Amino acid sequence: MAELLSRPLIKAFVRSRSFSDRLLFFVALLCLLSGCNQGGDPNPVELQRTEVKQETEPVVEVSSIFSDLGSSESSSEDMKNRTSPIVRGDISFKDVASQIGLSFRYDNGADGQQLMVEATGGGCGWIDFDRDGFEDLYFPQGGNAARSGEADQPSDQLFRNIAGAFFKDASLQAGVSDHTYGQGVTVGDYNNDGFDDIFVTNVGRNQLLQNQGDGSFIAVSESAGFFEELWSSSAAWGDIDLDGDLDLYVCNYCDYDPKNPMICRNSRGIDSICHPKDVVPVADECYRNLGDGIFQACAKELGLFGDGNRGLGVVIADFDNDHWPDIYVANDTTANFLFVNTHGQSFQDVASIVGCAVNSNGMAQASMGIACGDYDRNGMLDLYLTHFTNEWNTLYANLGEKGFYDRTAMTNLVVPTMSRLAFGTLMADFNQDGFMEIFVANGHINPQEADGDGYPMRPQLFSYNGSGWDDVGDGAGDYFRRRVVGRGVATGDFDADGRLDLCVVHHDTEIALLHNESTIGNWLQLRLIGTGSSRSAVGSRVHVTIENQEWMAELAGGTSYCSSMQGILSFGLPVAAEKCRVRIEWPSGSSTVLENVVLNQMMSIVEPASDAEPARSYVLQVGR
Amino acid sequence: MRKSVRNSIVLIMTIAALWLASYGWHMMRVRSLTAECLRFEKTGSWARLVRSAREWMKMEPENREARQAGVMGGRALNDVRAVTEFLEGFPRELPDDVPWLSMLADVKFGPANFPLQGVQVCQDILQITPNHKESHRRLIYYFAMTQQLVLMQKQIEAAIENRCELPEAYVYGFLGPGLRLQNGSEVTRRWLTNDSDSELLEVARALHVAQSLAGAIPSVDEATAAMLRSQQKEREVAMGQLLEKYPRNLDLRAYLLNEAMETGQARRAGELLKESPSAADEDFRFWHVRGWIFSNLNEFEEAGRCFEKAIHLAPLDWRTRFHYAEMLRRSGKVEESTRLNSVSILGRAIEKELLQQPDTGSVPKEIYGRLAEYCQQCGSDRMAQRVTDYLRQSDMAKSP
Repeated sequence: MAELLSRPLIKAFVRSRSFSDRLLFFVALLCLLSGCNQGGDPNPVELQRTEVKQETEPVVEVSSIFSDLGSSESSSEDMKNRTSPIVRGDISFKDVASQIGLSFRYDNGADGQQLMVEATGGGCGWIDFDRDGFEDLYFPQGGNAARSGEADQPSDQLFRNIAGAFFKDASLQAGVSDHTYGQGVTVGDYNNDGFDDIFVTNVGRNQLLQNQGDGSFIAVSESAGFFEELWSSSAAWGDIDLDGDLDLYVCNYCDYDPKNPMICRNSRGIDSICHPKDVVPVADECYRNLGDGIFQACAKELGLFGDGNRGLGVVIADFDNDHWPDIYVANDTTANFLFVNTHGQSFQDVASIVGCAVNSNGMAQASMGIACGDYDRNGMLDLYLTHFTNEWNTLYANLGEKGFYDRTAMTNLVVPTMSRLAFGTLMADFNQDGFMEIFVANGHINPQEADGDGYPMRPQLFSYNGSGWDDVGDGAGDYFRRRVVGRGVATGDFDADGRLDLCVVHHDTEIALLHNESTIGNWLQLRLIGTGSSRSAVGSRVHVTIENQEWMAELAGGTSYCSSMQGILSFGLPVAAEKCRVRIEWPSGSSTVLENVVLNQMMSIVEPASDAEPARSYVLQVGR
Repeated sequence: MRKSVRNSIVLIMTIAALWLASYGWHMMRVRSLTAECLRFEKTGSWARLVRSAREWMKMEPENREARQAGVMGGRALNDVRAVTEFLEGFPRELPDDVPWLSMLADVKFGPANFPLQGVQVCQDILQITPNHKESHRRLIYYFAMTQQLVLMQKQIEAAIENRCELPEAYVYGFLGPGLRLQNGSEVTRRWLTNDSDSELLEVARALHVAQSLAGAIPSVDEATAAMLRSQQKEREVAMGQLLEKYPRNLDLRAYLLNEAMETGQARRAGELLKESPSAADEDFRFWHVRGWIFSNLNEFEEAGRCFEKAIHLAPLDWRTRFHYAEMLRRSGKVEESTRLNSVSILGRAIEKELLQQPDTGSVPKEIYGRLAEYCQQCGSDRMAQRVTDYLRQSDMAKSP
């Protein structure tokens, strides 16, 4: 009906000459096409689809005008190609942590002192440390920040996943005993020995735990060159110089000593958690892996610094598709950074220039976590940033050479996040319908002065419908109706059933292990093993093609908040398909193409020594 | 015939005699009142001075001295009503009248609490003395307080043209829509008490209240949070009703437009634009939002035209430049976008620093220096020059 009504308007539009008339027609047409009685904003892709349907529409000129309304610069042909006939399955998660013996509660040590560090910590890292094919979990622990490092303080914990059926605390056996006030964790095989290692960020000295391959770890921080005692938050592994081993980027927050804390008071004169602007920021650091077990600080040398750097989140990924990993940093209260990599020799912050430093109102936000993925399937990695209450989370669509575009409002994401204070976030296709979901862990920083939805908040789950994001949390299980103080979150398929599960860390309660019980479509999971590239293959890009549709994902370093994802790439694919084509771009520059790959399996693919050689692939798991 | 002529002459003579007698008495009385006023002034008999001056003023309403004497007495008695009474009809013609008119403006904006009348006085002063610094200052403040941003900008330009602006004018002129007056709600509430049916003041107060409620809702206790939430809701309803009541009010509509733009409600913004009065064509805020809508529609050419118009009308608005740069980037004009973006980044940084100052008097010189640079980059050469002159003068004043 709206389409019929819009035709006279379109004709009138063509006849109109002044731009104000045209504006009126645009508005009216928008109203008609997207339904005036519905809330929200013009729905660009719906318009686009409407246009696709109107093949007989005679007003070709106008069609072209409307073909990319508000879209990410995509032509309607592109979008048609990207639109897959996928059945959208229900999304459902169930917290099974207590059922399978996983018990961990992050202790932020809050005892009324209002220490600033109480607000931030709490991450988790998926790691298959014993290489049994089932993802284990590492949790940094807090404690009493004023007594950080003392032997009676709680230590980090490592839980071993026994065949996807239950978890067992393996901290003691594995030699995990860091009593420093913990914040976050990142997992990667920095010495390319085939066993993933762990880097833990602390308030105090950070810890590098080297996996011995026998089920245990040893702390090698000092010998590796990590001496500083700072307040670090998120960290990410990535091969920034593409020399075949993983380098490390560590976000530092600000200069604050919980043993001699700065006293801050609120407007009523009551002791309160300090505002970030009251405290001097401390620059992030980047450590170059020299390949001999030693890391060398190189942030300044490489140009990895900027004003007001209070880093809380980081992603290492190729945002400009030049095959060199770039670094995006989420800063609290100041503009975010996008450090573009110039062939590993230097970096330049271009965030302001390309439009991902501040939101569409030109305002720097209090950024915490980062989700990263190609949600609009234009072959470029997009970003989703979590923020403080009243700041809404921001979606930056990557338009390639045309920079980033804040599409938060246009995709219905402003209102749902206004009253939330968000930390961990990630983008993944949980119901494997080919469209991304975004998970957001919410929770205020201060029970005394919590605004918005209060101190504990409900987590959120948004599902992309091709043009906007639907809030689907309400129907996704009991967990989404609980109020918790959420922090770090990471994906991992703990029971190897082909569906990505979630581990979420809270401040006020036990962690949640959300078993994915969604109705799923076809899927493909890939574990990549680098040879010329780093063994963890961080930075690898995979393109999965079925007929004329393509999905792209990159094994990014970092993402989320203080947390580390399972090192696999997971794709949701059309139900009608049986096989696909897989093209892997390895960080080393080589590429691998696999034809007729059967769906619904988890494969391990080893990087060939040269392009001429076939890739070795192993099927690790088959079936739904 | 002769009789009637004679009668007429007698009548004329009588009238003349009466007039002469009356004039003589009047002159005598005036002389007497003048003397009395002088005497009362000398002896400090202020109440009697006021009485005599009042009588004198009635006899000679155009006499400046009578009014001046009354003002003197009234001021000594701290009698605002008396001061207002004498200043109210003060002639508004000569440069010598200006100090008295300025005093009247003081009273109108201050204790008498009739700001709308105060505005008229200031405008009359500027007709006589176009470079009257205090009147410009008052009007800029008034337009800022009543959220009439376009008039505020024009007043700032007029002050600069007459080289009589105060440094705070640069801050107000730069901040424009970003200007937040902490006491705005309180001042406009007070002003409304004497002009309760003023659309201008009613809207201004609503806008100040809306701005003050726009922040976060602390939930220290649920009752407070619920109350604030309910206030926000009420505010939204009230703003809608106010727009229905005053559909032609540009500042109200511009505020709602900006709110729609900031929260990405393109459709709402479109509706507000559609119903905007023709005067909006001279308001940069409307062009900015038009540009933003076209930009979202990927109608880059139209968007560019709108942004250009907005920048032409308000050269210092960094927000328009920011959106313009974003649009240029998406349209593939990366170099142009980068140039424009760098200007907007500077503007944003200056705004951020200005908003952190407790008041305009506390703005450090360093920020004024950057403001001059920003004005230069925006092509606002005159403003840049004036800010630079101000810095130079203040440096000279400091040096021994």
